[in-house]
Amino acid sequence: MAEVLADAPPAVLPPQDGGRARGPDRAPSGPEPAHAPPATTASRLSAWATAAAVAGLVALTVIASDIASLVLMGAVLAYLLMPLVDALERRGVERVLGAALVLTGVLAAGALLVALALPVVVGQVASLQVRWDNGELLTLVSNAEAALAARLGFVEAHDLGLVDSIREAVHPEAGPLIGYVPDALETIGNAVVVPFVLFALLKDGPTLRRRLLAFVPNRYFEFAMTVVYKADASLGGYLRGQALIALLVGASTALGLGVLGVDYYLVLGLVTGLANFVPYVGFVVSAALAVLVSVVTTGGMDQVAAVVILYVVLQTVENVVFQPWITGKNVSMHPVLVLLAILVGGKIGGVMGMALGVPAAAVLKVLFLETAVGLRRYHL
Amino acid sequence: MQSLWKSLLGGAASSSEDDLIGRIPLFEDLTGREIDAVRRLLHRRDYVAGESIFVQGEPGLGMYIIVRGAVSIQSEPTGRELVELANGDFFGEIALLNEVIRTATARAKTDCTLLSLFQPDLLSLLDRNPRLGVKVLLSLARLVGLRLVEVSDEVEALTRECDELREAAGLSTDG
Repeated sequence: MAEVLADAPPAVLPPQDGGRARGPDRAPSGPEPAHAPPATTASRLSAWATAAAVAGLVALTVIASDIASLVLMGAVLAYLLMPLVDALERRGVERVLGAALVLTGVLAAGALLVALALPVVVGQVASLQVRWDNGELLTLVSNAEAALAARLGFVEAHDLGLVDSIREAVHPEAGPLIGYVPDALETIGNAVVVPFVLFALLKDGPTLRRRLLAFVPNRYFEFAMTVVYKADASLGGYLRGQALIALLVGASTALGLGVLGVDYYLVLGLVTGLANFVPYVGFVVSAALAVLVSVVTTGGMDQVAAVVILYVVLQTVENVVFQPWITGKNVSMHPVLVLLAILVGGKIGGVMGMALGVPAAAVLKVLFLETAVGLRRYHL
Repeated sequence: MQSLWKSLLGGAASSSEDDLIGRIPLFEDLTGREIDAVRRLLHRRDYVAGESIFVQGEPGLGMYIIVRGAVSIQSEPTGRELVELANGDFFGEIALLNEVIRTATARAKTDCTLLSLFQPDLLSLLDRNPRLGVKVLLSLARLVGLRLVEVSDEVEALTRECDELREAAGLSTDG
């Protein structure tokens, strides 16, 4: 009843005194009735504007999805590196200079990494290519298939069809290298976009957030602030933690596989580190890949047990040591939710979607919880 | 291209707002550079007369500084005005220091322009630029201290009044 009264046009009561006098019974139901009509019109307008802006953004993302993903990549990198610029600012370095320094450092580190690791990785990939071209790998697979069939007993050697399916899977991709030149041009373009976005966000991130918040109507302002800050803390902590963990897991995987004598240990370490951005699924996939590579390259099951043990040990260490130590309780989500987030993310945005599914779900969770609290506590 | 570099490298220039911020008692002691840094933390909000800024019982996360206009601080559910604040005054500072629910309602009495400072921003300032953060905090503490002195004076006066009334009442019942 009180709400109906509050929302009705205030034809009966004079504005100021009416509002004051009827304060007690109307207090929990929102804004002054005297100002309800303009506020409602304004909020309806701003709701339309917001809806239009969101629709436009979504449309733009769909139309230029590759550019959107580059911007997203720049944004994720900015998120990861923001604390460095903050730390520089703390030491009295202006934000512009700090952002430039961090960007230069990242580019230099990237170049150094590429210069040091690329020859080895390229060597490993090239040897893979050579062994593929001369049919050695397929022979190894068919040997492995035969060994497996012999051991299992109930399957015939070619029932599994591993060789054919691998050949089919690989063949369409294996074009001549010259076909990649347009891609390379695009890659150079991408290589410019990402640092550009990165720099702009490193320098202006906080200001940008403030300007966006300026568009929020007064009534939702404090609520929006709370959501933004909590989502920010949760997202930033998660992404930074995951990046650090990916680095640790990738490095220790490469080291472990190298010690075990598994071929292509650097590539496998790199893949494992990146795949680690996707909880649970990434680990299973990269472990399966490592087992497959070891079976294919050695032509037997000799290393399989050791590789599996290595991955299990690393996963355990990650869960028991790295995760609690680094991510802490940044994202506390039920494992079922995490899996759902990964699957839905994968459906929407492929591998990148899988990696970003969990943080996106974390943001949605904050939004949901704060809205639930907001409906109860704020008089929205 | 030059404007691109300028807008990419330079900050958003708004010296008129800097002047306003410099005149607010809370930021009086700050240098121009520091004011510029503080300006980047503040959110400027415009309210029309009668609009509520926050409502008693809501979770609060920040304080507001009045740049222009008048704000009425009211106690719910009666809507009784506790105090009227004007240019340069600030309110809601308890939520800035400690995330608590609002202990009163703030409502714009005239059309007004406010600057709001939020706890996470203050904490990040303390983290990024401790010298400036401490300066702001010290200034805030001084003003809150002054307010506390005023309040305790008032409490003392009220207590005295209460005692007098009680005495008068006691005398009257005895007599």
